[in-house]
Amino acid sequence: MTLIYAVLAALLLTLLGGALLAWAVERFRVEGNPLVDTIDEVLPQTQCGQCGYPGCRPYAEAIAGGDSINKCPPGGQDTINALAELLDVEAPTLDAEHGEEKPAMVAIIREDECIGCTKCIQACPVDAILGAAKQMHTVIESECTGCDLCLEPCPVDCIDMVELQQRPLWPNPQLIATDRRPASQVAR
Amino acid sequence: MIQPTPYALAGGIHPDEQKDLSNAVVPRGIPLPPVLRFPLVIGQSELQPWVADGEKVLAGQCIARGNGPQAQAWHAPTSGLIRTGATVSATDALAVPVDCLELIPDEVDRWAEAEAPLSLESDASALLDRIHWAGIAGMGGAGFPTHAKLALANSAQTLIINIAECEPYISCDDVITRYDSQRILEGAAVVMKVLGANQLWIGIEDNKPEAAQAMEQALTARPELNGQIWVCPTKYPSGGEKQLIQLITGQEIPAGEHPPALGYHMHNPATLVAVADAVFSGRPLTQRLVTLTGQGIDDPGNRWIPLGTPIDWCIEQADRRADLDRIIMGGPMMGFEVMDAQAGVLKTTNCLLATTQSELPTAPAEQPCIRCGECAVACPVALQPQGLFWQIQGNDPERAQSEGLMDCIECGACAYVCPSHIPLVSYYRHGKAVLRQRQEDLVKSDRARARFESRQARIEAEQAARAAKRAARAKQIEQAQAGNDPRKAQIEAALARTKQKKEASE
Repeated sequence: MTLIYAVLAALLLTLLGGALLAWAVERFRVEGNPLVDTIDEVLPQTQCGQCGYPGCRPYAEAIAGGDSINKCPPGGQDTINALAELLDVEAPTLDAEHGEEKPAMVAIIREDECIGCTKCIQACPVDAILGAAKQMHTVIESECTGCDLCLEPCPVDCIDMVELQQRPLWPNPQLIATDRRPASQVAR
Repeated sequence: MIQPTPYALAGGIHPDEQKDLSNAVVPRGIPLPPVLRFPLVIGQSELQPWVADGEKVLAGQCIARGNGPQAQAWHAPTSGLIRTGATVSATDALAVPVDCLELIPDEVDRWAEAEAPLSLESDASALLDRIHWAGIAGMGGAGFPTHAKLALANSAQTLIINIAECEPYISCDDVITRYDSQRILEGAAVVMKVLGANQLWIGIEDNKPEAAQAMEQALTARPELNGQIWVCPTKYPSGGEKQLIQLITGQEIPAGEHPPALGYHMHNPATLVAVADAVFSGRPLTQRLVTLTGQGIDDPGNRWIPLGTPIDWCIEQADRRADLDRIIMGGPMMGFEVMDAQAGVLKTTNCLLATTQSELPTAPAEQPCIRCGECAVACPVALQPQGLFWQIQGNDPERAQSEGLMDCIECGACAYVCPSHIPLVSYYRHGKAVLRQRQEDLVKSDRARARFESRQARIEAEQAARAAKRAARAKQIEQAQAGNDPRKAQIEAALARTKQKKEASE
């Protein structure tokens, strides 16, 4: 008899626990994939499409779905390392197929050559080009991500990519004295 | 009226003082140089020239001014001819080339008409505007524009004059207090009026008894200022803003906050003299007292030097010695080596230190950290310098930030005591710069994401609107083909009506 009671009690507890879990799943369901948001935070938001996806968020979704994390040249090795740490995988090097790591760039329109065709405005993924049909266009420098996407559609090739003028960073002091010597001089 | 500070500074060091090299000499001027140079970038802020190439200017005329609430300004210290287009290395740690204005003195020294003098009865906003006009910036070394500092603190009960001057060698605050204490108090009265402060504290290290005495005398003549002199033991860095407040009150300024958060406002005595000159004499800031010192010159002392005077000219006037090795702007602890002696004296140039190799030898090569912990003992803000060093060397400034990197005042006490000669402050500056850069990148990428998403939403909305229109049209055509187009029915009804009317009339 005791045995039956025990089994029944265990069964009851199991059912109760199960019901609680089933309710919790519905009650605390997370909309969308939170991993995608976290990955998207790490990506540089250049929206350049060099990874083969139409923007950073689609690439974040692809990474969450299992795509490789080394397809983002604007982010470079820093982004790859951050992604590797986030996803707890080994950090690969940048996939050269998608481009090389470059310094931060900004697009500049040679304004006297611009014919006002609006093609670059339509191509810009972050609405950083200002202008109207048959009027001169110009790039809002602070908003430009340096994605290159406006170069290709320009019929008169009046857009240049120039390196962004950045304040020089305080340099990292040299490593310890023995590390400063070239490798050939260090005694083995 | 003179009291010792009741609290003690944690950490700190006692470097060799060397103040008697320069503090016994009565301050005097120097001859005008053949050219004065004014950089158009000061710290992070840029200035626009207000005069054209070849223009003749009068002394006191504004020659360059920045935009925005933290704008700086340059005024001509003498009359002469303006030349543009030159560049000098910025006199800061990075020494990047910057554009500068050159002024060639015409030896006449004709002044522009001074602004009308104001008085303590004047409106606080008029006083603030005058300080802004005069281009006054913190002359203790930080160089933050004084009007902006005053405008940021909407109220402070206590004004503190910082005469601690804890850096070795420097004596300009000591000397200006000895000879100009009345003028300092005049400036202090203006600042107290602007702030609505009712109490004046003066912090002095105990190695400057003459300055403390001069201050006491000046204070007895002005009892309405409610002044109090606090004398603290000589120890570096007790002259740090937050350190001095801690010495007097025992209170620590919270991380990321400034003294006004606790009701204090601190100024350098030279800044207050400049404030008094601007308000009571209508003169902009065009000169400052500079300590010329070190064993690399034969005639050390404090000199009134026009802003923009080339550094090498100042050193020549103080009898440069042949064995001069390097020139440091500021003190030996926090100063920078001057890379370009053609550059001009700035508002923040409190000291030009000309050293010889034997006096200040080149730093020995950096050795590995042996984790002795001396730096943690010396740190005045109770950080763990060796830990911060470790995180930054491991390229993890975020971790260093969580361990208090941003609270580091870069005083250099840790590097001074380090037996491995590690340039710790350079590492911290690098870490802070990387953090600042990453923060800026993050803000920029957040904005790019928001713009990308709003564009995406707009395109989708446009497509949806177009699709809806298309669907509506398709539905219409479909209905027409099915023979129940409402318009067709209307037309048929109208035709039928006219037919009926026709038949009726016939």
